[in-house]
Amino acid sequence: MSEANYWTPRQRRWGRRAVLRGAVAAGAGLGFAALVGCGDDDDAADEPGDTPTNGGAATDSPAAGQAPTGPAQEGVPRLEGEPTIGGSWVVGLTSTYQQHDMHTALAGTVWHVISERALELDEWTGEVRGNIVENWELANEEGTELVLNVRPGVPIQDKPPWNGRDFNAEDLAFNLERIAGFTAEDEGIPRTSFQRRSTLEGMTNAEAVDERTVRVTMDRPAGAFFNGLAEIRNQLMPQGVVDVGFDDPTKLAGVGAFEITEFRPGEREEYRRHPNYYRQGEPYFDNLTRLVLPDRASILAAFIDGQISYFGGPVPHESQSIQAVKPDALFYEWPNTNWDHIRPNTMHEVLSDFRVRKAMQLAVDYVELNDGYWGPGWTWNAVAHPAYPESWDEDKVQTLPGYNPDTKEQDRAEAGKLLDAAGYPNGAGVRFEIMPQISSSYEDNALRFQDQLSQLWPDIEITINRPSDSAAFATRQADRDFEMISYTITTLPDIFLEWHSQYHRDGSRNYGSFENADADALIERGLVTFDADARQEIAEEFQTKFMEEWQPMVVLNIQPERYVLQPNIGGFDTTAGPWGFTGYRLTNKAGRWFEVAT
Amino acid sequence: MTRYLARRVVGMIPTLLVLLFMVVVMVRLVPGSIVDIILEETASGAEGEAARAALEERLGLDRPLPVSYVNYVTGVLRGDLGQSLWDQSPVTEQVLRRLPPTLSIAAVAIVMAIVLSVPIGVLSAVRRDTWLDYLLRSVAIAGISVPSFVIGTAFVIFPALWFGLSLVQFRYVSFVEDPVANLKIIIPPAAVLAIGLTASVARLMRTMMLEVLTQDYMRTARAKGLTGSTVIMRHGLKNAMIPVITLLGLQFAFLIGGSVITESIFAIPGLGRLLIDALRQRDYPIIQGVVLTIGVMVMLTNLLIDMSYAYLDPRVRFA
Repeated sequence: MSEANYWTPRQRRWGRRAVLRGAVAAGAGLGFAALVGCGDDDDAADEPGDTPTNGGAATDSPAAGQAPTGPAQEGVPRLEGEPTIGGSWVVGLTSTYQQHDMHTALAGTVWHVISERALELDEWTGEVRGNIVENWELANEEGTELVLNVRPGVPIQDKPPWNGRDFNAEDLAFNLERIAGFTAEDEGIPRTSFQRRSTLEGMTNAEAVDERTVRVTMDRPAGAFFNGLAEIRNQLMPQGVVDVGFDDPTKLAGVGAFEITEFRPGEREEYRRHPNYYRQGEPYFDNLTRLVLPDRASILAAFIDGQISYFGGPVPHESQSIQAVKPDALFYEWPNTNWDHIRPNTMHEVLSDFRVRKAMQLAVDYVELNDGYWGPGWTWNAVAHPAYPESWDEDKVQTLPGYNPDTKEQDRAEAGKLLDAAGYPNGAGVRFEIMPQISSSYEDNALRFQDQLSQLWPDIEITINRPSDSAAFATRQADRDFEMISYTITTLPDIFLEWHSQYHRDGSRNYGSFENADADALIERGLVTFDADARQEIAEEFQTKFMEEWQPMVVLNIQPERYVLQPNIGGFDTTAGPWGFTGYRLTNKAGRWFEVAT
Repeated sequence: MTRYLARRVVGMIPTLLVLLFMVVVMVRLVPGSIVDIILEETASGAEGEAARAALEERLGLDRPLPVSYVNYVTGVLRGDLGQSLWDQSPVTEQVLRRLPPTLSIAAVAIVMAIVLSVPIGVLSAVRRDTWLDYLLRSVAIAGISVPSFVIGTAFVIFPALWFGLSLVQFRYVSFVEDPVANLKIIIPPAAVLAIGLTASVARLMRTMMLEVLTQDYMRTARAKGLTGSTVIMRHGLKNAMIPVITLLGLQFAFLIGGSVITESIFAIPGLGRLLIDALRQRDYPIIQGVVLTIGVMVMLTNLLIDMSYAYLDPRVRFA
């Protein structure tokens, strides 16, 4: 496959936006009507447009030996054929899972492999769909009482003290309360250690009323509750896990497709199929192994040699190398959930001026900047990920001043005027330092940003100061001890949760210290609004003001998500998509993948 | 001999205390904090301040440095190197688990280096200023000049890119599980480390051999009618080996500490990898434990080298 053939489909990618829009209007928008009784099985066989708006009737999972099929997507090849039952899925990753308490862990844990989420998001539409919670409803019109129904017949893996019993409503209630940090005091852990508590913001109580039903009480209508529960790091743990403890991961048991058998930090983790996994016929692989391969060249060599099943995140030259020696390898690409940005500290003397920030947003040549590192395949983004139902799509972004390639000269002229008006003619007096996170892409973004602005305004003084490592960056970012940073953010599953985190004065990731009363008010309204149209309206106003009045940061792109798989791995297409959070759940969804004879 | 040994061991205590102090102080001076890494999203803002304070207290990072030092030294004396701040596992266990692969690689590398470098150095000295000498010296300089991580990366990636296969087995198997499989995994990184070491030792061996060859006792040995090889092997080699042994000993300690990148490239779960991961995650007790272990090994290696002098040179006596 030539490089041109490989990348060409990406340029037409967002043709599917039309499909996406049609689907989310009914489902992912969290409209009140859509919420009542909404739910669906986690089977990707439905076309994105066929979003169910009621019921909760589960679609049967395909039986063993029958390949699950997802909707055809550009850039995502489908491998047809009879699944081979058995074999091993082998992953090469750079580090071992270090934290084993899902509710306080920063990121990936063994729970991503051995368990499941209560709710999931459709990989392409973002629609909330049932999983371990089979269906749900609002119990009052105010939207402050919610009822969640646990799917029957979901066995926990056969380890003491659970011994294979079914996951029930008490388990779910335990998870909800603990995710929210309600157990912090009893356990002697600071509530702030519960990393995902903001995803269930507003919940005051979760109570099991019978074997299958959990009643949730909110202190206000919470339009983002279900999306928050579907966050990829809200994997479920069974009640009693705190007593078992988190020191030895092999004692942990979840409801997922694989159970852990061996844990060797820095070396490998071994998992085997969960024989009573609730999805009929899955998993297809018998075993799953996570090998720790810290060096990227080693991962590439291991993939080419067939020692691991996939190679993640290839940049163009790596893709070319693989194509040269392994022409039948399967290349997958779709928009990621990470958006790169240049974030000014709005407390900085110069960068506190909206005109300066706006001038920079207008001046950047986004095509040159993004193509330079990623090649074709990145996605346009201005204020929020285009995969949100409420956000501006790629077509719209490309018409915005600054982002529109056709008006670049005019936009740059306008940027110059803004700098003049702010008292910085030709950039004279604008002086700041960019701190990129340690990664080639963020450093590349910073360098190109610096280069473009310096060429345009020779008097501007931009320096780049690399931190010693990621930890040093994290500390300075948290302390807001920077003038400008170049980094990325993983999108949260709800647009208002995302904006609250980034732009609200109390936002947990508002590292740039942006403060605006209008922005806060719009975000707060959005968070308690269920009606899809009303949410759309609020989001529209937010995005307009973001571009015309606030410009708290310069959003550069959505990264492309790229994977190369061994030619005999099928089923991967059923879990691809921007809301698949694939980076997090490469193993979480491995129950769907299989080998076929080639 | 026993008194000498006892005196050396006692003499190591102040060095150890200084090492412990440096270890405890220096890890705290590294920019970036484990607290910020763990809290990430919640580390910012007013709520974040409280969270950071609470976590620092929980992890024991709020204690003054002198208190931390005394606690650590007391723990070390009891054989307790503390617990990982991330998963609370005992550091001693982690270090002991990761030590064997690192020691194996270093030992195999040393053996390879000795087997190759001694004949090369001797041959080069005996055939001084011939084409063979020039060739061997050029190869040795090349071996010293190219860093081991470049050789290691090339060893891993080029066979894959050129032939679509890898010469490296990335799934580590311990010696206890399968000795043959373990050797297959250990030999490639050991060979990579051995290249630079062989080159250095061969050059030193040549220099020392040239010096020894001009000594009176060598002339006497030849005058007695001994064959050239006997003179070299029995009288030359042993005397030329003293500085070589010193270098090998120091290099052994260097191999232990310097195995970080090689272990990463070859996916060996050794001490170097443990150190790198701990540094990245700011897991202070593990950093301290690994550095301390490497430091102690350097001291012990030096002791062994000094003791080996008595065997190699009877003139050396332990007073």
